[in-house]
Amino acid sequence: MSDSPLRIVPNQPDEPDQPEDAASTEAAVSRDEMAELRRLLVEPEQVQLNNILERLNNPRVRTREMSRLLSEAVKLRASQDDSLTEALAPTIVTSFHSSVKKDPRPVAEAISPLMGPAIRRAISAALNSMVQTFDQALKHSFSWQGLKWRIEALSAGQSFAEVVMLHTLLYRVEQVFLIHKQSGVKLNHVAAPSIKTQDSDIVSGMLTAIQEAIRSFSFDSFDQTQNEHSDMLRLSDDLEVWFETAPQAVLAVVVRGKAPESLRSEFFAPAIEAIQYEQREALESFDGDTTPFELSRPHLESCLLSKYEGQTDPSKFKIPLYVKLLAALLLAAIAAWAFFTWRENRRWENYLNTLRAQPGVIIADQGKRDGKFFITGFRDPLAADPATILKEQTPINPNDVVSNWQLQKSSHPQLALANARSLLEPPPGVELKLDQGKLSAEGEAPHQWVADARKWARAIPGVIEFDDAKLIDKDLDELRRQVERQVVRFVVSTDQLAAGQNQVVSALTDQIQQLIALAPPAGRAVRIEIVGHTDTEGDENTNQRLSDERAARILSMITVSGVSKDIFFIRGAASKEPVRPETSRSDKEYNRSVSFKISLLNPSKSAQQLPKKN
Amino acid sequence: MTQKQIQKKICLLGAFAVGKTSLVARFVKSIYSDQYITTVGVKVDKKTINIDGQEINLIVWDVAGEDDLQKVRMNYLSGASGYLLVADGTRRDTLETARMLRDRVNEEVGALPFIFLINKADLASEWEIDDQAVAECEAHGWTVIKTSAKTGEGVEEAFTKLAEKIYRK
Repeated sequence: MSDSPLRIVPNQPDEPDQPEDAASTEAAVSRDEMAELRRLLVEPEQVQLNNILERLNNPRVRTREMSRLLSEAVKLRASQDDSLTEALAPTIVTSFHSSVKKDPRPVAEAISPLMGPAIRRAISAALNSMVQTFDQALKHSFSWQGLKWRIEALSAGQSFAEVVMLHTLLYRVEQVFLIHKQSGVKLNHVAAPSIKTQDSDIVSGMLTAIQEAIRSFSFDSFDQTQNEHSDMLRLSDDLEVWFETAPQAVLAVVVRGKAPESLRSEFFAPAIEAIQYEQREALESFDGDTTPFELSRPHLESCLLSKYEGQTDPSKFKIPLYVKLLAALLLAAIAAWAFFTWRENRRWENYLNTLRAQPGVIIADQGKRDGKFFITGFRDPLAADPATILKEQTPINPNDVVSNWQLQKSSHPQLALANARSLLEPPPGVELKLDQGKLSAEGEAPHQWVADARKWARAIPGVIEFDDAKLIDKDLDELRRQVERQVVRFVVSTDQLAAGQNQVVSALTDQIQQLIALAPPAGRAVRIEIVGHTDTEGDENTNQRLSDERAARILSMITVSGVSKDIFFIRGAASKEPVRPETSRSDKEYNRSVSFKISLLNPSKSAQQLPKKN
Repeated sequence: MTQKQIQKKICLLGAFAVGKTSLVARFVKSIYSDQYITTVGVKVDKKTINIDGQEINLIVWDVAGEDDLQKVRMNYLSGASGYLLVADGTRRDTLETARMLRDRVNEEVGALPFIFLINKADLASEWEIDDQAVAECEAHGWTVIKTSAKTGEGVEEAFTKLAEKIYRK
């Protein structure tokens, strides 16, 4: 339709081109009359026409009028055919897409009241099913029955939970068919999870046919009044089909197990009644299109009921006595095993601690292998024997221990001392001590032992230093005393040796040479002081000189044989240090002499001990 | 737009041993053993075919054959959208049974679309139903198709034609 307003132009009579004269006046009168006539004839229609034009040309008026008609028009057209739906569908779909793309929230808000419960219901069903399966499986995991079922599950290729559910099943609605009563055509169908179903279209037909057959048999035979609706069909010992009939639809419920009859009145009948009520029109006009009956799904699903043994009250579930006993035995065995293992380990630890406390025993590795303890390490031959300790000091069976000890000298203080004793074999009277690696020897010992001890002591593991300061070399000491006991006598007032004293000097020289030879191996340095003496006769100055000369005389006699002078000191004591108290003539003779004082010095201390050389 | 789900019930009617079950077996894959048909007197199968772009599930009720001892139960035709009337080309009496069955359907159920099948086309030399008889049937407005369950001749055509008649009526 064009937007330009319609116009109706009154018919204008043709006006001939005439000269203005009397005839024209007449014509004018005639026109007025014609106009008047027209007005009289068409004015009402003219007014109506103008009104119509006004309505058509005014968009606001047209919109208002169309709004009054639109909903009625849509209803009318939709009842006639699908063309309106088809025409609107693309626009609606596009608008929907566009709206969701722009802002999905309004749509989400709009459908949330629908989606929320549906999702909750689905989750709840899934959880219930899972918990139930788990619960059943758990209950039957520890019984002989459970064992049998496990074998059955293995041989049948089913899960254990499935087999448990099948055996503990009191009843379960496996499938629900909504069937068009007249034709037996399946309108809708639901099945419990994990149920294997045949083609539900065919099954619906067969169920109807079977029901029809039963009804006919009943009708044909004696039972015409009762059982008008054959309402149950037993397919096998534990599989039945229950029928609930409404005027135009039949609910066929496939039940496994023994379901209580009350399910009919509580669930099945209300479901089919609700469907019959809600979908009466679709059922009445049914011509093969089952699409509208998708709406019946919630009702059908409400019939998928099941019940298992013990499902009603899980608290009543009791563990069988033998299971308890077995569990108790198992616990006791575990406890005993734990205790014995703990005790064994403790004993072993004690043994290890005992070994660790032993000098000369070093544990390299230990542990348990193939059910036996093992220990490897090093031990000093002088250390306590680990095998003996194991046998005598622990309750451990030696057969349960694999030992591997390597012999090795130990530097442990206690063992070092023992080793020193063992090696050096100190003679009686000699005591060995070890302190922080310093081995000390005290007492008197033969020269040879002293020399050997000095030589070997530091080779003993654990001995760093050998201290022999308090060790006395008996042979050396005896020589010293022998020399010191002797004097060389002189002729009165001279430095001439008395008769027979040359032999004395000779013997002394031999002894001194022996001393000098023996001292170094014993760790000693020899220092000899030669002291000259006089008797008390004469003046003291003369005696001093005389005593000096006598000491010098002996020094020269001894050293003439090749003995080093370095070890000698000479001193004149005049009459002040008499060899003997002068009470007789014989005493005077002895005081006209030279005596010896010998020092056996420890070389390290000799610097302090030695008197300064003159 | 979601496509409609169309389910149409059709029946196979005919005298005993005309080969109805074999015809169905040619057409569909059944899930039942044959013991059902002897017990209940009907065997239900399904075949999906496409007419004008619309998928149609034909629920095929293969009703036990009519003979002297057993009459076809017309109850089974309740709610059917059409039927296949089957005769055995080698047995003239089966044509009579077919006519009689058709009359009973009209009488007890009402006029329904149907196709008349003369089966055992593979045994043409042994046929007792001649062309004249066929022509008479066609003269009554029957759609006649010669079929062979053995070779498959005409079987698909028969089911499809019936589905078309039902869907386009």
